[in-house]
Amino acid sequence: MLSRRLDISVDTVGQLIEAMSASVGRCAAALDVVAVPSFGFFESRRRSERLAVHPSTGRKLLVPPRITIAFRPSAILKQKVKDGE
Amino acid sequence: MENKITLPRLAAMMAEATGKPRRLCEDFLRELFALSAESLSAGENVKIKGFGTFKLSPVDARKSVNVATGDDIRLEPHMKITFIASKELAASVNAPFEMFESVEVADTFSISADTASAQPGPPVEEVAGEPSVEKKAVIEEKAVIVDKPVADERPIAEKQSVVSEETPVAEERVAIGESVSDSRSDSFEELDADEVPGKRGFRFGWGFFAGFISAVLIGGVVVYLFGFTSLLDRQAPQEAASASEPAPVAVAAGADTVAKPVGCDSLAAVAPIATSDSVSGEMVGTQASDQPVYDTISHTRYLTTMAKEHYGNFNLWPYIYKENEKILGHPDRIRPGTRVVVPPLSKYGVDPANPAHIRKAKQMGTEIYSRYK
Repeated sequence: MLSRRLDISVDTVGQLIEAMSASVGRCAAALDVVAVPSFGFFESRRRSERLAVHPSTGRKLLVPPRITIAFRPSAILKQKVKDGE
Repeated sequence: MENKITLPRLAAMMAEATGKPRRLCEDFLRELFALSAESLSAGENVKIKGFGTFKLSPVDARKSVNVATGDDIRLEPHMKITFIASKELAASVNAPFEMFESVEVADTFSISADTASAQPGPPVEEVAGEPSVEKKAVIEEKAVIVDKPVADERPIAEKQSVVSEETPVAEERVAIGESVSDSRSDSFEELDADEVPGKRGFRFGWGFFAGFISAVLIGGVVVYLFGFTSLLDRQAPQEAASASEPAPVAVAAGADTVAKPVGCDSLAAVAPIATSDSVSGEMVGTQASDQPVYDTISHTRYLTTMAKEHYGNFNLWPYIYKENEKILGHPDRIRPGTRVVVPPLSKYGVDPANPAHIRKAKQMGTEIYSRYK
């Protein structure tokens, strides 16, 4: 859960987060980039199907193609983290 | 696709989804990320439930190069920011591929260049969304390689695949485009050998082929205009088998269509434009009610489509299948026009929000398929 909740009510926050997640998800599924100023951006990575080995059984698996989401922090954020720590 | 979504735009999407004022959404977003940035710079990981976690991980010092000057530099140890999407976000991002699952294969299995177009055995099934986009890229690539003279033919094929990208027929047409381009590049290579003796011979071959393709396409359009009802009976088995399958469309179909003579395919392709237009008018209301609802399978409506609309989750299609078991055979080979009863979820005690139920539904699906393997 969000460690601190500021201005608005808890339910609203929950709703908004859900909506945000859904919207970001949709954008990413459409391979769009979601940019947040001074924070960074979320982009999609396409992974083609590949052969993998099941870790416990050792059997070969065919993993289907998928879209993943990745986050790239902005320089400002990276600087903040560097300075803060 | 490949657009940059800014914060206000994201806020607008959220406002639409929740009904909350857009200003509030914007402020919320700014606040959220500002807060996250603060926490991160204070050394705390930020976990946002339903979204994901921003983690800090220590990174050792390492040698690197200054990209501007080329000098060696030393990167100090620092904290790296990583983001791990929550299950919900990951699923929503992977939406076009969500219906696929990893499949076990034989030890001797290996991915070769051929696998990209004609996939073997049990594995990945085709679906209209992403793969058609990738296939389109393949076609465009081939189109670039192909010589200019035939430019008039290609745009027709490609335009069609662009227009109907959303429909499963795109796969059909894409397959046609591919088969056309395949046979094109075949004849291209073939004629390449002849090219040296005389360019005239080369040109002639191209013109002939282009004429043949356009004649076939026009023939298909003419047939459609004259009412393809008489042909429907003959067409239906072909259509049911090759053009219109509930997702996931079995790979064999994709391989079949590529193998079939081009003429056959373009007819089957032209007809579905018409049928999907007319059938889409039959769309059933999507409220989840307690009354049993009827729905009709079509080239664009599969069991999974109905499950998504009526239940909110496409994985629940096995329940629709179960309800209509008597009239349905292989779930991927349901004749378009088949009327199915969409049972109310309460009948089977299924809750779409419960992941355990979803898993059970997936198992049911696999079991149904295994009956037919």
